[in-house]
Amino acid sequence: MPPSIREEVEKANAEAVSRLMESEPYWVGMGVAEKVIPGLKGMKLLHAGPPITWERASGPLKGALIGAVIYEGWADSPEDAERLLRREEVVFEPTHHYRAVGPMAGVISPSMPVFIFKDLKYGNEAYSNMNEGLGKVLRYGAYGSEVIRRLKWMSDVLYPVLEATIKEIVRDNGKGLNFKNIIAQALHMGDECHNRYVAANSLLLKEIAPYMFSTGIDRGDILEAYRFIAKNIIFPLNMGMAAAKVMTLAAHGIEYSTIVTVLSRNGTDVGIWVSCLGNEWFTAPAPVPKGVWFPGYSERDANPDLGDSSITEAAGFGGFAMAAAPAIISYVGSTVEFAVENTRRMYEITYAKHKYFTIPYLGFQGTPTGIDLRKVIKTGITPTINTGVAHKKAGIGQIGAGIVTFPIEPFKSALRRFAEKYGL
Amino acid sequence: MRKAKAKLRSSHIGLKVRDIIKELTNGQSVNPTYWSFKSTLNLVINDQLITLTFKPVRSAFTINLVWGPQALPMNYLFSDPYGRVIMSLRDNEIIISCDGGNLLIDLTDSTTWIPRTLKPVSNCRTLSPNLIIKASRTLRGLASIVGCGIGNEVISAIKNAARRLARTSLENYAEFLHELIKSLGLGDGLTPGVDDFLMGAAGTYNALIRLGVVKHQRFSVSFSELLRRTNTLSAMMIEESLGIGLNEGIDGAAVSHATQDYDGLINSLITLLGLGHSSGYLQALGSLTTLCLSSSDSLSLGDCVRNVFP
Repeated sequence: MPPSIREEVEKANAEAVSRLMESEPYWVGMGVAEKVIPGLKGMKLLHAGPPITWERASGPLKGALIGAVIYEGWADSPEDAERLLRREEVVFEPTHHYRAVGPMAGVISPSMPVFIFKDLKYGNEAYSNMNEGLGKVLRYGAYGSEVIRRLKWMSDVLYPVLEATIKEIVRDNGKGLNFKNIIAQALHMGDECHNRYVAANSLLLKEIAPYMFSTGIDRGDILEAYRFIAKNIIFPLNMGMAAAKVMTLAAHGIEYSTIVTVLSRNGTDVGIWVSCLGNEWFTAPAPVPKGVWFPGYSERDANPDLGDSSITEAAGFGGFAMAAAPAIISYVGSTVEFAVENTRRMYEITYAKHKYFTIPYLGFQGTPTGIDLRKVIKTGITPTINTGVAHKKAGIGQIGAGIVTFPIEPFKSALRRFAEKYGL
Repeated sequence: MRKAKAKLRSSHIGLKVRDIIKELTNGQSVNPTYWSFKSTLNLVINDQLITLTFKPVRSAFTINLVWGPQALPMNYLFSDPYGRVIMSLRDNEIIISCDGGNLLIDLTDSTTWIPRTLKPVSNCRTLSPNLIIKASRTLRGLASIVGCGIGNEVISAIKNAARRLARTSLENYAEFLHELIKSLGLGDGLTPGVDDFLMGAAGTYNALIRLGVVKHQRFSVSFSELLRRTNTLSAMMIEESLGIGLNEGIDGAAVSHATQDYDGLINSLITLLGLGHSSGYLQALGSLTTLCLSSSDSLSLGDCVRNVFP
């Protein structure tokens, strides 16, 4: 007797989540986006979340796109940049269509340096840009001269140091830097690896410092790069996201699998992908996060949620592992009880407990891993993540941080499509 | 021991709850009866049911809550069923104090949810029996995938009731619904299986009457009769579903039928699956049984149950 669809789904989900957990994300290289990301050519920009038009784009996304146009030298002023974008002379597409990810606005332009991550078990590659730090930064929609200056410095100084460093690491061990190990260790040291990377940053520097200093690059540049990373406690976020992307790619495209492989937002809409449904977006309006605000700002100034960083939760860490990171509550305006309860709640919608990412406080249980569309529908529980909050106007930047829960509608639409695809 | 405090935001507040809450502005309600679960807290205040829930299914007697930075599971706070509870309203904020701590519900951003079946639909044109049967197949397939099972004793009870009245038409549908009442309380869970099926079947029937699709007497049953057969909370939920307290899944299914909106019907059935376990699935099957019977004069109850039921 042929297996029922339910049996097929069970089998497919077991395979998808196993691949997600067994994948081996390594940082293997650095490169200029247009040279390493297939298809990123000409006057094209990538952005976080599902597809969006200029008219519907949020303030921070517009700000980041304007900043990237200026950074590329395609326009000299914000007004000229906006004109190019409005006329579609500069086009923009979702990062996920290019196996790339970026936090908040997530804008990657052709000449930006990117991290190259490779899954040494299943072979997938993914890319992410370098993290600029907190405050007035491109990813939060700021595009002032200091933002562009920092991006240029990152390209001119930080990138060559990191490129030479990772070459040294690959030369030494033949593989690159095992980022899964860094995440697993950081979860035991008080990080959840979405908005808190304090431990991960120290682990990263401990791993790479000897190689940085053996690159032969000017020591002044190395020290500048080292200090920038050490000061920016969120620096490994983009690397964690690229690692999460290769993990979820390993689970993507498996026939019958109802595991969610992309969870993302563009500041206007949220969108998800489901393994068996390919690259089709299921979307709904993005909610505004609830949290704490920087002095002078309030929820009235906040933009709806944005960023690809929720790929971390899709991979089984980040907000889903908040029980591992009680200290994050001061950043997102929550309580320790909530941090623990949120992790417990996410077990109800995930397929498995992670084999390698564990939470000491919960008796070293694995983190909730593999969001299962079926469980979301059955329980009515949707993914809850932690997040930074951008001002709704272009050009201002970050104004707070908080917690956001995804709406149920994209999951309902995806289940509907599943029924159509498999003739239910 | 330190008392817990949860501060939640409400996304939607049901039409009926808004009126009940207004009464709290004049004072407090002390010791309402309550049942608490992880996602849901059911309270009875002055014989009125109020459900506070994190689930995204709305109804006229529900306050929908957003799981946010200050949230805690309901049974974390309300862990003592005999504990003292005080409920009051202040500055658009509901305050529920109990032995476990305080629950504050901010209503500032809350939208009032109004059932769409309150008023008749003009130019009513209903979905065909074929589409209702197709929707049933989809529902059964999705329920299987999602993992909503039904106990054999519940299936048998419903099918037996239908078998006894197999030739019943929509005109005599109330007979079938009364027959089901004899089996209330059968099945597992807070709302036993037959209760859920009745909520869907009878709730949809009365909704179709309000919409003008069906021109018969509204189905009713006394609360004391319900209480003789099933638990208090389930009896209250059945009573609500017979009136405007039906949930948005049943409400949407009835409206979709009356407006020939097949997509809307499927979406409503998926919404019902979100009630969890077997409750939503049985409500959906009940609703489809009623829709099937109302979709054609030539179909009998026996035909409909055969086509709709697993």
